[in-house]
Amino acid sequence: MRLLSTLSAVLLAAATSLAFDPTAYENTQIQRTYELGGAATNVQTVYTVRALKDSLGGYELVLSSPEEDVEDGTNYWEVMQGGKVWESLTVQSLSDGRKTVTIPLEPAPVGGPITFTLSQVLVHHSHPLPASIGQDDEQYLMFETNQTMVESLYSTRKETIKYRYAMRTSPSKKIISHSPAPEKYIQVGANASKKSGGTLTLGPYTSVPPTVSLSSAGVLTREPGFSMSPLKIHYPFEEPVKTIEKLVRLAEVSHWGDNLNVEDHIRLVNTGAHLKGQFSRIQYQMARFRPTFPAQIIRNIIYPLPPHSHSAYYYDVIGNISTSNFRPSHPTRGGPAILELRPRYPILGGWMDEFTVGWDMRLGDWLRSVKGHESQKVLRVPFMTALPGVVVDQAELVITLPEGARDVNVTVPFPVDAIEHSTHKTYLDSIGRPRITIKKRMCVEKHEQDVYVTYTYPFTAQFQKVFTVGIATAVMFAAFALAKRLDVRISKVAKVVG
Amino acid sequence: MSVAYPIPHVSKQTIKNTSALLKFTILGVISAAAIASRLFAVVRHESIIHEFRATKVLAKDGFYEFWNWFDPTAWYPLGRVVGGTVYPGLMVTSGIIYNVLHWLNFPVDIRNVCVMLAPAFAGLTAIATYLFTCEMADESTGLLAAAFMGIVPGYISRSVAGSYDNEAIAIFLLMYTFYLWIRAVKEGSAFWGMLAAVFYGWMVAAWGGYVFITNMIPLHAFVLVLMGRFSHKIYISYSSWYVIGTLASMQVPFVGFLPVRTSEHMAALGVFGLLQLVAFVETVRKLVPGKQFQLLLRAFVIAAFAIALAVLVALTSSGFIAPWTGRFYSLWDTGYAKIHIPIIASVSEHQPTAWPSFFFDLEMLIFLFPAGVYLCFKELRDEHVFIIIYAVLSSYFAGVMVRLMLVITPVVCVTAAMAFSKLLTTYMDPTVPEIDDDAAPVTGDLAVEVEATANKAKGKKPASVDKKVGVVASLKRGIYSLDTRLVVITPLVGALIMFVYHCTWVTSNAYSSPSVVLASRGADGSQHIIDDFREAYYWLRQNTKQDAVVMSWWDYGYQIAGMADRPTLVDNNTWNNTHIATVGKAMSSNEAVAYPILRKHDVDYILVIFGGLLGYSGDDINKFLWMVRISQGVWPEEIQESNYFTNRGEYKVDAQASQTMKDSLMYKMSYYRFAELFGGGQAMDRVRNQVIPNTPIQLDTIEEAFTSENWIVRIYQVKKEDDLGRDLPAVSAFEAGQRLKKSKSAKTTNKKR
Repeated sequence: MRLLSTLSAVLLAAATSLAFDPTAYENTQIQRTYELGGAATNVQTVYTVRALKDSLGGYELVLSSPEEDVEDGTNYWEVMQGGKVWESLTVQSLSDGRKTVTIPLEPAPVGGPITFTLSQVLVHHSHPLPASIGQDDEQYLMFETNQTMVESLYSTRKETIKYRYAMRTSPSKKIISHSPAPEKYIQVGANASKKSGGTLTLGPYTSVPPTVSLSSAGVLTREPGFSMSPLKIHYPFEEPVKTIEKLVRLAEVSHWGDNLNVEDHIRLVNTGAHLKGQFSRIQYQMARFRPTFPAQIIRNIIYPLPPHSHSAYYYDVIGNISTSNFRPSHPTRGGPAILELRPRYPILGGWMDEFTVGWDMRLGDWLRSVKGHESQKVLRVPFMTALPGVVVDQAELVITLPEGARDVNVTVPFPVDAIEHSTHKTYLDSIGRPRITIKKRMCVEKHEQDVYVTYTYPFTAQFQKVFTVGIATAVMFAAFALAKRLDVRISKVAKVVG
Repeated sequence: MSVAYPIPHVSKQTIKNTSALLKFTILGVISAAAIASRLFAVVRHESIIHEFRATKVLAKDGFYEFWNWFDPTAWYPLGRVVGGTVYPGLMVTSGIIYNVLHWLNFPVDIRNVCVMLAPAFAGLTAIATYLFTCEMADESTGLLAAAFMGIVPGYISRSVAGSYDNEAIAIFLLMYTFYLWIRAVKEGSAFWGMLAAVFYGWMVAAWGGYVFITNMIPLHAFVLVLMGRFSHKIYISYSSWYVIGTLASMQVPFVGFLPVRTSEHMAALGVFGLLQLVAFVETVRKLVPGKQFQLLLRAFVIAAFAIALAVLVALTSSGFIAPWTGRFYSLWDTGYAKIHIPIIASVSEHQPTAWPSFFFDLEMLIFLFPAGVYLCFKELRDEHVFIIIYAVLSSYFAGVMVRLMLVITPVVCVTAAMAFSKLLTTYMDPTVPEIDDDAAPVTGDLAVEVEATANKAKGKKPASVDKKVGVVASLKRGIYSLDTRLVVITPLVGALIMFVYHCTWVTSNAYSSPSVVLASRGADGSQHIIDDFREAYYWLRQNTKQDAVVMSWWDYGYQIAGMADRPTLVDNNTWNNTHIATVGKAMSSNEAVAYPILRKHDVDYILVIFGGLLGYSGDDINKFLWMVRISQGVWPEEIQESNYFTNRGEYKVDAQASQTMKDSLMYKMSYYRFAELFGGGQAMDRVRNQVIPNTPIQLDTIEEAFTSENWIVRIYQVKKEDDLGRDLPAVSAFEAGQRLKKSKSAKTTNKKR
């Protein structure tokens, strides 16, 4: 229930001035690793922290630098310790919308080092360079960042930053070039930066003073002496850069059918290097005979579905797309069902495809009744499906509850942009179904978490439709019976003289 | 009276109730069967529908928006006033259904309404046929006719699910209008005449084939008058139908004043006038004594006729009444279209009907058809005259044009059902007369029936039965023993079963494949779907500019508009011959001639269908001669059909193909880089079984933009003028690394060719 507690923490935390002491802690070591990818870049920071004073509040962890535009990025973060997610952390909302996380380190004795890891994701920080390439050319991306230092409210003894390009298909691929690293705070004698194969290392920096400070008004300000200089890294990327511009997931609950139907409307764009010139089918078909197939072309998408999903479908506005394979999960052992989607046409750089994927699931796996209160239900719906390396610019989850559901409550696992309640009328409805719309921008793999909906669904509500249809039929029957017996002729003798 | 087999004793009331229930159930089942057999296409290939954008506008923006809808994306750059140039009946009908369903909280998609409209109306057609036939004969005949109508392939061919066409609802309206007309004639009631007029108005709004009704009903009335059967019933029903119906038809903007200004509608007006005259004469006759009346009548009728004719001729020659249109001439002279309107002749469904297709579409009904017409002659009540006229006219039309098989189908079903039902009732009637040796007279009705059956049965049944029937009938006796009855009934039932099998087979194999999806079966029976059309259309939709103009042959216009959502130059609504000829000219000229045409029409992409790789025979190279012919009709100096043949007069695409053919844009686009696919081997075109020469095809003014997986759809982008002002062949030569001077000489040789 980390999610719940996080949420409540968010709600509870006020943008008040914080009593904190920058000399209470010291980072003995910070190591940050950027995994250079396509649309999403994973960032992992390992902190080793030492308390200098006794119980002076928790360690304040800064999630973003003051210059960064928080509105633009994903606000995903996670703190882990010893391989486990650290739960019940207090989030402080600052007055400018930024957040810091208080990590309760009070019980730690003075001097004892504590290690924890912060995971974050940067989205759309790499762009293709050259911006357009030929159909068979290789794709290169340029990663750009202003952040060559880890933001901290405390001083740091030793700090290393690594930019790593994960080599997948051909390990010989290397980072082509990078701009010079800022030289400040680098120990004399050490290299400013070190490039080896797919990794670029900055630092180690030693004895770094705090990079930011927190004013009493709750505003994060840059400490003087730190100026941000951009760093650019140019690296090969042998995969398509996939971005889902818009994802709308419709989930519909049916108690009668014991079914949870999920339908994803997806607009997928290949945001890698644009295609220079025109697409040549013959070149594409001939590429099969070459050792490396142009990797920046999206040829298929593996779409994992929850266990025991069935009746999957795949279509777009002009009808069914016949090129797909569905592998259901093992009937006894379970495991995810796999939907292999092949778009109608290969999606080259800059091209777009829009389609709908849907499937059915047993409601019993996703819905529980509260013990003792059988009419109270708890529904679990996955917010989205994680596709490796894919960024969803605009995600929307629409949950439609059965007609007659009341007291609807939604619990989200992470902060979202909006939660809206509305009523939806469809087949055989008389009063309409409650509908919940949850919106969030910039989602990544890690947002594949469950949304919980609790609602009351009385037993009698199940018979609402039966009742409606029964009444309608009876009225129709009566009307026909009446019409048949009614004589509307003007005169009984209506014979025309021939 | 003795019976041939025991009949259970039930009260009259029970029989009445049971038969009512049975009728209801059987009709329901027939409608269900009619709907179900039209669903093959949807079940196998899902619902694919291209042209329902107008309906979409109607459903989304309402009726007046649709009425005033100007579609700027069709017939670019002319655009098209859709509301005023279509028969809106189909769209309005589906719009009404859509709105009613939505009002009832059934949020169906308009697309699904469109897909299911044709099967739903086919179910209604079966019921209308039942009602119509009940007026002709009895109810069991009606049920049989409804069953025939429900599954007969001749009607299914134009009403499978997903075929969103005017004919989808038109046949129902045709049958129902006819039913109401017969009802009106029988009852002599203005009410039924008015109802007939209302449905006629709906029909006018729905299909251009309404002219058939416009001429059928007057002809029926006219023939009845000629037969001396004029009565006030006819006068009342015809007058009410004509006046209200004509007013109703004039409400359709596309029809407008045509009912009073074109020759096709003059017959209805003439008969209306004639009926007034005849009624007047009838009235006068009651008042004026016989002898003088004869003289008066003669003078009056001749004068009236002469005056009417003179007026008609004067009006026609002065141009107030339009003469017959070309499309109608092509009905009288089947060769007319080929010479004067190649665009009509280029459509396969406008070709004269081949004999086998009568059997293919109607199976045994076509044999029973004359027998049914004969039965009508036997009785010859007013309504039977109608059937006879209908049969004669539609037989002619069905022979002239494949498409009009649709018109003959209902009357064939009705008459065949009459013949078949007569046979069955005769042989199943359990009454056996007491036979005395001195030939006791059989009850009148039965004798006539037996006789009729016997006459008709000649040459149709096993000889032994035939002989026996003949002998017995001549003795005023019938076949009354069970075994002989079985000998006749068993083959009849067998024929019915065969009919069902045939219909299902034809429906499933011939009429249920959407033209967009091609399906083939692998060696192991697995289905392989070739979805190239949608692949390319969807690519156009997603990855080209919203206003990119696509040029293709008109066959694909609706598909591009519907699936790719892009403006097209020409589409299936072939209202502008010159525009189509322009496209034909661009396709059949060389690049130097075609490029200015393309640029003047803002063409961004050209789409061609090429089946050579896969063996898909409906491709553009096979249609190419029609493009040439149609453009030759407009530019006879520039395009000549003979230039596209080899010296020996063959239509070839291999090395022997004529130079004009090889230079044409269509040839170049179809075979661009095709030979490379075979890596030096023989590049075999699988449709025409000819080897395409290996010499690379050079495209200067256009470039390949997309080719679908199996090469069926190839899309080319038209290059813009060069930024530096060079001409495009020079640019491509420059880019190929040749020196400018060289390229100039190359260009001149190019021109010489």
